[in-house]
Amino acid sequence: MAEAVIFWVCAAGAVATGVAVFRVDSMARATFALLASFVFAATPLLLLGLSYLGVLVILMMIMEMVVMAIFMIMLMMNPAGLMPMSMVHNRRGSLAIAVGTFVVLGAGVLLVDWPQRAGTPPEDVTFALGEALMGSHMLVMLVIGLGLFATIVSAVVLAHPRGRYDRFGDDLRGRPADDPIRGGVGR
Amino acid sequence: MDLMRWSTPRVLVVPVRAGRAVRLDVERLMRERGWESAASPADADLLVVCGTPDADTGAAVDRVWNLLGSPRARADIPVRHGVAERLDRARAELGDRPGRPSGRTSGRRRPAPGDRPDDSDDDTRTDHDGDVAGLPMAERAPDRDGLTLDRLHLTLGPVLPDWPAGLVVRLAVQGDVVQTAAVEVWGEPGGRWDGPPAAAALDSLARLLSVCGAATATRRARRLRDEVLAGSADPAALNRFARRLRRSWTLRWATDGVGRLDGRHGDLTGDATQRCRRWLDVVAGSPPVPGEDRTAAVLTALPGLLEGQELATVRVVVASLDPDLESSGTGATS
Amino acid sequence: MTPVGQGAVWTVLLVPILLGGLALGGASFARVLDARADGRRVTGAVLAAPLSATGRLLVQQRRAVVASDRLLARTGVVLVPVAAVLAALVVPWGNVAASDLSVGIVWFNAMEVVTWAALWMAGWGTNSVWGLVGGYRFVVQGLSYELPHMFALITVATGAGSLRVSDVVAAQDGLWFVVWMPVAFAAFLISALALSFAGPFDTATGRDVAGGVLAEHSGVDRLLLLAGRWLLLAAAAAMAVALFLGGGSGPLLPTWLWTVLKSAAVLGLLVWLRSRTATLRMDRFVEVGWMVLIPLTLLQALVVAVVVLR
Repeated sequence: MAEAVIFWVCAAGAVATGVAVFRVDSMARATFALLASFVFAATPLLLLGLSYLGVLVILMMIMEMVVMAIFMIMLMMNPAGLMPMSMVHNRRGSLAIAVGTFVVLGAGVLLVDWPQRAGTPPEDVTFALGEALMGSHMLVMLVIGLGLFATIVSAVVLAHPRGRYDRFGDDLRGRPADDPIRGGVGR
Repeated sequence: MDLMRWSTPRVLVVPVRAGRAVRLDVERLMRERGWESAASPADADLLVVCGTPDADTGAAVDRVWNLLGSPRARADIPVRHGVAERLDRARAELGDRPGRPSGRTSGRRRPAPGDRPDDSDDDTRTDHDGDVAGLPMAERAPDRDGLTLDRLHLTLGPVLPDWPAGLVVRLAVQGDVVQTAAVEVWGEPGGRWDGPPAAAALDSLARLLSVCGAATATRRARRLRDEVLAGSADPAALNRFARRLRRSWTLRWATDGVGRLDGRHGDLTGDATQRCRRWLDVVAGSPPVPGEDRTAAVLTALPGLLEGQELATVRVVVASLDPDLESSGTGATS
Repeated sequence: MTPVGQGAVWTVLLVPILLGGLALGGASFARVLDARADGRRVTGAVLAAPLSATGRLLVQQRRAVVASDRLLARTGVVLVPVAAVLAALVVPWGNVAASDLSVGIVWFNAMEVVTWAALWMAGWGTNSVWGLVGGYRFVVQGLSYELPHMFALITVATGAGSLRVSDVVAAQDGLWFVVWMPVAFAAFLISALALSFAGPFDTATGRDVAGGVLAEHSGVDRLLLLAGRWLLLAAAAAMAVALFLGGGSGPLLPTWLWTVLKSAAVLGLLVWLRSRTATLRMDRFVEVGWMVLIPLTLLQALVVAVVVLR
């Protein structure tokens, strides 16, 4: 009973805050409405007994959304005030895509012949998850992890206007580096 | 309210040029009574004006006074006579005031001068024409990294804790990076100060330590300054204080490489760390380097040192140069 | 020593009281250090100063700047103390934990990250340049301390073979983790100061930006932020005891008393550090966090992993 109540509160909350993302007129509010929506979506994971995944999703989403708020506001919004703005782009197209996705997923829920549960969940779900990730799927996870990390590093390198020649001079011997702001290690 | 009588007030000290003697008295009494110095109007319940402000500064002080939340009290102390009584009276007034007023008044902040943003074709900025609550919006300009970002106009001083009296710096900032800086001096200077050099050095040090976040060292510097002024300072204690600060690596980290001036600037030469060390030398007993019109040199060098720096650095640069406008010759330039 | 167990439901109500008591003690100690630096006598009024300051803020008028986003600002303000209390739920007091979650360490981390969002909202929402700069500074600080902090937590979990805090305490029966994980302990203490934006990590509320996130908050809002900061520091100190200092284990005295004494000692150490240092500027600390602390904590995790696997 309690589980059902929590689930429906979270479901309604996730949808309501998701709608709020497009109704509020400030980028900061939109970001944190999206964060609230993600947290509502993560709570059912806790109901399923997947406590590690649930807490981890909340943790990662908070960090992610805070960083995203900074970039969104830095690039798109006036820092001096709360300028009214709208998160809606391409109204007709996005409406069509949203309705289409909802219909496909909704139809899937009703039409797919869901399998019956075979066996019982393991005693320690977190441990089972770790074994799955670090056992048979270890190679895949490592490749994905390294791939993501390499993507981040190369994106930063490509985007950064200053390279090592700007920092250390043409012969790469200039020490300390010529940076607009000095770091703490003293390189 | 009883609660207000029981707690120690937090004081926003407004230094005014020619008000040094009053400020020193006020700071000493605050320290002895355990009254804390507030960092912003919202933090304060007591506003203490040290000296007689000119019309511009007076208007700025009045605006800040309106930002203080109730219960609040104000003490204008034009001369050194009866400082303690005036502080006591303000304190009592704070306790007598009825608590929270029924209506919630909003602290109003002066709109920052600035133009409207140019209209942009980015469709997330749909409603960008028109001001928000009567405040003009920031305009945009290229920044340090070659991006076009919003810029905001910001005025530092004349009412700002740990800030030289009479100094006003107008900044255009992007994020917290200063794009342009212009220096003004408000008010008229007072007479020359003939206090001991160690006290002057400790007074300047206290401001620098405070903006560097060294709270305990700030308190100690103010206490030693008051002892030097009272003639009761122990040379060993002064030496110990100077030695300890020279060893502090967190302080060195805050000041290293900040506001570097070349060799033509006399005792201002070097970065904030070097200037801080010179004060420490004076504290420890060595005679001060006689500077010829140090203040004018600071005011000339300041804009160039501030541009391109972050707000954190701005405060350290100003505090490490610490132009002595309280007694120096330069008149108002606003 | 008796193993830590899940307490009854009502013990949840004890958490804010215990945490508040510890936080008040820390705040009083800070006032004592201040008074000594000022050359004032340490009287009862100095010790009670955090309480009287609370009273002062309770009657002070709340204020808001024109066009501020009150919803966001107040949400942020409330979230800071709430996050501290939620984080402390998994901390065992003696041999009772109010909520001994199977993923207690991750929970603690998640709740402490809530302050990132909370402080940013509290700073942004005031529509003041000082608050804005303060909020941004805290996020930079978060990005600098968070990875070493996580690696320190991972090291502890690896050493204990569990994410449950009670298992971590039990695993220290013979040898406290601080002995063979000193780097992780140091990184945890650094991040304890950083996550509670207490000096030397107080750039977000620094005097150079007129109080930063705190600049425009007065009255109850300010009280919640300041109290939240002390509660966070107290929660981190109590967690350090459970993770590194053997929880409530100790001779003669009851376990709950040992927990309190050790937590008070860690908190005292943090407050003392806080008073002895100048604020670390983030343009300096970011590089130290990434170039020094992350490799060191990774090495520590490697050493512990090798020891555990052998």
